[in-house]
Amino acid sequence: MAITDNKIAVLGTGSIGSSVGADLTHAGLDVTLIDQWPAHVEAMKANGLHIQFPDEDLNLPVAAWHLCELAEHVPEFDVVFLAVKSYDTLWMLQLMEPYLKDDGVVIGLQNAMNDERISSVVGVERTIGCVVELSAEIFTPGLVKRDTTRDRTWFGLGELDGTITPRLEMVKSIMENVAKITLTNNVEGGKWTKLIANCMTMGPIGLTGLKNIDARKLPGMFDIAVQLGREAMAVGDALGYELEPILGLTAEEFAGADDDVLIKAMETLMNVVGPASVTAPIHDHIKGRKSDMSYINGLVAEKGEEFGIPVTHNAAVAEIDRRINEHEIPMDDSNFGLLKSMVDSLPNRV
Amino acid sequence: MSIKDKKIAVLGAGANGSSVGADLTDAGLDVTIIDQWPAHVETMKENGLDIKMPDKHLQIPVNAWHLCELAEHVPAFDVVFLVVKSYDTRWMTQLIEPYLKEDGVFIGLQNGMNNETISDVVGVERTIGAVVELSAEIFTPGIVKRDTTRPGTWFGLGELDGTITPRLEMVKEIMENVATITLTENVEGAKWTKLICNTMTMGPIGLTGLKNWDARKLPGMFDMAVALGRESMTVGKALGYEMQPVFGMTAEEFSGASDEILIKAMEALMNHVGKEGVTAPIHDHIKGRKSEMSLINGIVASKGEELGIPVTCNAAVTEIDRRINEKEIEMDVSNFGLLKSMVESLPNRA
Repeated sequence: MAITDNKIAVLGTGSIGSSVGADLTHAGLDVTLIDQWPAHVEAMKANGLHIQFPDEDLNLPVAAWHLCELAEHVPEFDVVFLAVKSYDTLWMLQLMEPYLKDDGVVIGLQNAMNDERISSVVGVERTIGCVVELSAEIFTPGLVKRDTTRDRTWFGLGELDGTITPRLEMVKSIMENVAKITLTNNVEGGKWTKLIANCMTMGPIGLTGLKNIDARKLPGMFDIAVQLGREAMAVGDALGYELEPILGLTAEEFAGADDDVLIKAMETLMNVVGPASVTAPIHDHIKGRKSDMSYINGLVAEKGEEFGIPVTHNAAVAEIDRRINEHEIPMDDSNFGLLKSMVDSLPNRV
Repeated sequence: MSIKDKKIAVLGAGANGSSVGADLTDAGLDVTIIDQWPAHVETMKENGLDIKMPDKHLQIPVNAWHLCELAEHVPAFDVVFLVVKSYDTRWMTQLIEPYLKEDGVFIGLQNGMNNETISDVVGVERTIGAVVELSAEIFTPGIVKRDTTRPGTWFGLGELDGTITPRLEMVKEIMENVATITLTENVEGAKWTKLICNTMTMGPIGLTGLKNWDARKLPGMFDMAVALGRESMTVGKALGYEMQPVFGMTAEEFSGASDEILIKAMEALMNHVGKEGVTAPIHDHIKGRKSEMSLINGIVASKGEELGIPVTCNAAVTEIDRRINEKEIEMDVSNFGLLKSMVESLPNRA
């Protein structure tokens, strides 16, 4: 079966899902984009997608559906790419599950550790894991600014049991229309390694609303980031995750993890997003939407508390992010001062 | 705490949800109506709801959200009424779960037996059961034709453990703005009793596209309905459900269940929808959407097969409905002939 014979859904078309859906459509594949933001779906139906790359401007018609159209079309998908915030994982997949073939696959193109959630709905046998390095933003329906060129976008793909299967090769050939692809036998380790880097950058910077290039100048930012990363590494170690090479760093460099390596990881991630751009939770807060940091720093905090590992920094980031999500405080660079004072006043300082 | 202090969500604003949401808003309660049909939500935002009842024309501004707005407002609801097709139960409940207070309550105003799915997501302790007798239709965004007046609408409400609690009284007080309310100690029995009636009427008539008034004239319709009802009663008894009074008939009449009583139940349900009305799955098929009969006749068929009870008629209705949903055949009066021939050719005739 050629990849053009696969019926593909991209479920969730924020900036990442739209970027992926546009590239797969551009490659001539049978792709349906499905999303919960009505204005964006209407714009896609009327005018297609407009993706602004650093090196290319892609305008193309796409097949776009509102969520409610699934019960009209009653489709049967071979491959579903789930590109939603972590907190939308379960319900979105429960919505989609009746339309996934018995031998279909779901690939979560997400940050955080959602494969257990995904497989609880569609079964381990229909779940493929993925680590994502793609930076993009969407604020206007139909219009995406993608920061990473196709050559500089990277996905690590792996079966949950670590085997390299024919269907993994099939998903790789689909995704090579979007990014560079590596197959891995330790995709969960790869996802935790990415989560460490996200805890260090998205976490503290997301509270401030600052561009990466400005946030890095805040006194103490690198110190906080290193502490966040050390906590996340310690928790990952306790959970049994083996670190994986991502962001151009080897696993050995990561596992050694002196401060310089952590800082290099952070710098690399900030460069992926680009100096003039802002990290994803800032997009959410600008839109007045909740971020998914409770699944990133919050996960480290929660697991650390279970294991008795000090997680003061991640807990403080998760708490301040919660206050912003619930509209108790605004996103503001003063939140970095709040973070520092909370870390100093909390017990269990690392 | 007065019911005016309760933050209420109506999740799902088809014909029934819109009717409920409009009445609760009209009563001055704090109600948010949330739905997956973007055009309807947009109309509600702009023009409110227009509900044509037999004795009243209600035009009222309402507070309406798209699904994607939950992650903006991050609300905390005390009471959620779920008014969606059975196949939308799990994902919709999962979507709103983070926004239901820990001591909140969740009431499914649906046909089908969904309380196990609901309580699986929000917990038994937050689930209240309901039996619904409200007939309405929506084909145009914002405009609902409601067949049953408020006094002619009836809901049975009950805790899953059968106790009469203060919160049940509270939900009753809220719902009395919509309908006549009975509290019941056996809400699941009452839901199965309603399901029996639905398998008899919605089931066969839904395949034909006919008005109830015309469908009843089809030769063999009452025989078929009685056979469907007998299967459903037998399966219900085997599952341990005790029949409950619905549609003005006593439980004793129902459990006696001569053919006359089953026919009386069917007549009552058809009158409820009204001479000119069509049964709900026909609305779905006209809209090109799948019906929920797989969770009505289909539940009887699958449970009957598990229990070794003959369910030929319900299985045949379910199969023909599936073919319509998947666009293999059209809804058409000839499907009643197909149903009769399938029932005669299948083994295990009841």
